[in-house]
Amino acid sequence: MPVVEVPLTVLTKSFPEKSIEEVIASLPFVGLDIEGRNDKIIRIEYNPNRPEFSSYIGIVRALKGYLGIETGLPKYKINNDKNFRIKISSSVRPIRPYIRALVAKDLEFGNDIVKMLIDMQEDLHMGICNKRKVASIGLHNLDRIRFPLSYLASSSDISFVPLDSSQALSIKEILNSTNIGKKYSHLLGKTNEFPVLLDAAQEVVSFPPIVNSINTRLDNRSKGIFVEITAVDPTVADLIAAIYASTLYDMNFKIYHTTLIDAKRSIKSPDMSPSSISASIAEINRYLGTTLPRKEIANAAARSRLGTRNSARGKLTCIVPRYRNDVRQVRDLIEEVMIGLGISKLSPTVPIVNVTGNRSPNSVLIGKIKEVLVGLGLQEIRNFVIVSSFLQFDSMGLKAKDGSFFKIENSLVSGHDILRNSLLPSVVDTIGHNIHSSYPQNLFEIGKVFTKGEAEPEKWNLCVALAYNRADYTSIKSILQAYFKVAFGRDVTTTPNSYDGEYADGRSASIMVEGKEVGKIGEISDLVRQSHRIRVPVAAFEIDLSPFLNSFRTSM
Amino acid sequence: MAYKITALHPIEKRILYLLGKNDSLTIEVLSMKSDLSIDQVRRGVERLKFKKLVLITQDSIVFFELDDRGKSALLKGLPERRLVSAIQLEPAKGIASVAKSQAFEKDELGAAIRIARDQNHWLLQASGDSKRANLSPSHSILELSAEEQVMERFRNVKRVSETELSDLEKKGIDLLLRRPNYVKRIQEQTVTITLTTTGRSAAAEIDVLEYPRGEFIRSEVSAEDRTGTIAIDLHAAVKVAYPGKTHPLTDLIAEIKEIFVSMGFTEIEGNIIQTSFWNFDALFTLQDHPAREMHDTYYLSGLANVEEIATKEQITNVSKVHNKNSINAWDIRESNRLVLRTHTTPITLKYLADNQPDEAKIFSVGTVFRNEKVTKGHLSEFFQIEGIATKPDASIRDLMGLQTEFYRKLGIQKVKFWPTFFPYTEPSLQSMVYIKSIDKWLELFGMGIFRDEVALPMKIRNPVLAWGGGLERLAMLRLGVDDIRTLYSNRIEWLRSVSKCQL
Repeated sequence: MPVVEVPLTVLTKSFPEKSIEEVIASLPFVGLDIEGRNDKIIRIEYNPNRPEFSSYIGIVRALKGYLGIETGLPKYKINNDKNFRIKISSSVRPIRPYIRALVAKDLEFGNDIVKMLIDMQEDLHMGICNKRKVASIGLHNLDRIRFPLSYLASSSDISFVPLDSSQALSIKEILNSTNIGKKYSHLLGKTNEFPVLLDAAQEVVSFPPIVNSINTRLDNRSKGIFVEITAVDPTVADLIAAIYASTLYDMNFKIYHTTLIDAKRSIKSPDMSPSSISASIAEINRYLGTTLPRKEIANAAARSRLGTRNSARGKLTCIVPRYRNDVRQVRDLIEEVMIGLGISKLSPTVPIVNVTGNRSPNSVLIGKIKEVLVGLGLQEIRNFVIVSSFLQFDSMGLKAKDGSFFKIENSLVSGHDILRNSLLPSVVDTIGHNIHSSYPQNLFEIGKVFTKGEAEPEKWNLCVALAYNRADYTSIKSILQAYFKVAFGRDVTTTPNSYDGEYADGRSASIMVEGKEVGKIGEISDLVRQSHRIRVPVAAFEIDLSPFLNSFRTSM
Repeated sequence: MAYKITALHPIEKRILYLLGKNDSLTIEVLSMKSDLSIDQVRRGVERLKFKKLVLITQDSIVFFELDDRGKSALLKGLPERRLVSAIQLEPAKGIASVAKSQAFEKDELGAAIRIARDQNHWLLQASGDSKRANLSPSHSILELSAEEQVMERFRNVKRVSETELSDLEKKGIDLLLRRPNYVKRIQEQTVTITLTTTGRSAAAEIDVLEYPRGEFIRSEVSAEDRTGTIAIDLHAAVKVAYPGKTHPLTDLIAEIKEIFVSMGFTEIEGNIIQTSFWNFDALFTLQDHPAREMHDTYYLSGLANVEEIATKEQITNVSKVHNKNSINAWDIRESNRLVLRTHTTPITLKYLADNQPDEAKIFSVGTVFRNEKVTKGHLSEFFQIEGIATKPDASIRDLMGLQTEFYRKLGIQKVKFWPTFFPYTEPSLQSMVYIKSIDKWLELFGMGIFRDEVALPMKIRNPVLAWGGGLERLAMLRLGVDDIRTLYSNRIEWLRSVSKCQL
């Protein structure tokens, strides 16, 4: 989750009548996590659905509402200046069709402000912009921008001096030779045309979503800021424009519209017009488990910085500021009321048990089986479902049969790449990892195994292994026999069978219950023991539990 | 104060008894007399020393053994004796012929004459005559020399201790030592065991008839032992036994399931392999959402059959929701990809969709997966606990109440709720709990009410309260483990060491 650093002085200046501890203690109740603090700053973690918290301005605005200092819909005055025009060419439509922009001026920039705006841009790029894929933001020194601008698609020959460079580079060079170009070139796909924002003198201002020109770089001597957002999704572009406008406005900048002109129409940006949602008072109360009157609900909504309007009987209409597109439905509104009300005001109701509960039959049966195995002196182990094909096949002297097991396409850890189709390799591996512990090591594992292409690809298996100086076929068969007798009242027989690899020749058999093969039993072969560096004899069996799970009855 | 004799091991009693008869003995002698091995005696003596019943003194002891010439002299007599005997037998013969008949070694004759005449005074020389020929035996030949006397000591034993020798014998040894290859002097370190005062009184109490020789080496427990007639060392360390046990996580899972059942919840289960449709789409995770990316989710090779993913209506409804909320058109080819479930919620949702209960309380505890590197704090495979309750008037306060009760049953008394964000619930809360053992507030389970985007496509009308979280964090707190990997390390020592009941 993204983190924003807030200087403590910001909180003391913004809330002169509250103690700093009181302000900090209220952060979690507007949905913010305190990640850490020292004597100068506090690190605040926010949820990705609230991009306006990417600067402390948004956080202070929400806190003022929650603490009842400034409630209701924030008002924004946006000025007009006909000079701030951007012409949009239809040529950008197939590559990056949308642009939004705004201008803020009449305030001194300091280093702090520049840093905050750049941090905010970074956070938005990582979050809502999905690493610049959905949208990207350019911040420019207004003094260096010559309006009107034009947004159009250009060939890759056009050149300019990009940020962090000392010489002019063509778009082609930027994409092929600069770090930033290589990192983001995939966002443009295969195209011969590239989106650029040019100024009145046909100089490149920015090459979205890659890099800006060095000429218009924002610094602490700038007297105004020009913000442009290009996007593949217009709602995201509008949201970001509204977030910047509201943030810069709250910092006391004077905000100006830009006029965006394409072949069909001209629109004004940023669009700060609020939306509205109506909800029934009864529904809000039902979800919250409360019986609040309309007025209290309206007050709570106002503390979440929503406007409220009287509407039809039994209903409440809330006005949602433009920078919040996470409040779209009645349920979102209910959450805003809940936050504005203060969660501590909602007491948990004591649950009344009016339905009965049961464990699943599988869970009951497996519990009983484990009881039997523990009674036989076995220690339970738990291995992972994901294993390496080396462990599962090679180390057991087996050949992997393609198509019989599930492969993971994208494991981060090489070799950690298939789903186990039997438990025995992991159990043997466990013994191999414990060669320095005292014997006997008599183990069992019950877990899911996976076979591709079968009607039931996921099954429960049981594996038992004995490892000590006298472990042999006879000792494991004695455990097997006791297990079936005690667990299911069934007799088990073993039919000699030779299995390649895992079991020793002449020391392995099929496990038969009522004429059906349910598993394998035997002494682990020398080769397998050697590949796991095990020096004591190991004898084991593995059975498929599904026939027993399927026929297990919990009723009379 | 008398030592409590019954607390002694039979081996210890045997040693004490022998010492009582002999005052001080070496380890070797004790071993011989007791029929115990050297090691058994050593260990027994160490225990007796620890109990302050014996003293152990390290001494150096000097032994003598006959060398080659000494051994032959024992049979044939010393050269000087052989010389005087021959002269006595045939006094007329000269020394030279006597020497010949006795086959003296080259260097022996001179020494034999010198010893017989000058040292033992067995031969007398006529006065004024220094010739060897004129030697005649004296009466002294009837006396044994010091050398001869000490030689007799070796008639029956191989070695003789210096302490056993009389002064005369000591003189004889000294004389023999001066002669080449007659005796060897050997110095050895020995351990001597003596009784302390307490030891002596303890030894006096031992009735040896109770402990016949050889009794101590038996392996079977005798009837006397079982009836307690023969006492055993009740302090002694014994062999460690390792009983069969379930895994610690199994025990915690059982406890959690019992809590759910006691609160009226019924357990449901489902497959680990899920389609992207149920794992993501149906839970309103848009197809371009970062959570669906390769580095967060394990994708399996192969695809599910499109017709078998869900009902036609469910697919249509879900696709509508997605298309309304995303600029990218919903694509079924993203939905039939197979994943290892990243949560158990697809199982829950499918259960609610299939059963359409008006009212229900269900839960699951199951393995879920994240494509992450395994570290001290993260696993790529872990258990998710999930509880679901639905009824027509379910509220957020009910959810908080269920959660509080669940924690209370786990032994957690203090709970705080904070608003948060989850993709498929609204409103969403997170819970902070106070853990007494570490004196800290921790974030545990998340919860919320299913969004309309999740519930309505499945025709679920009533509010669905959902909460859940990881099992392993609870296990770490319960077991005092600070590296999450320990839980799945299968280190036998660790598994054996974890107690069933955490006190």
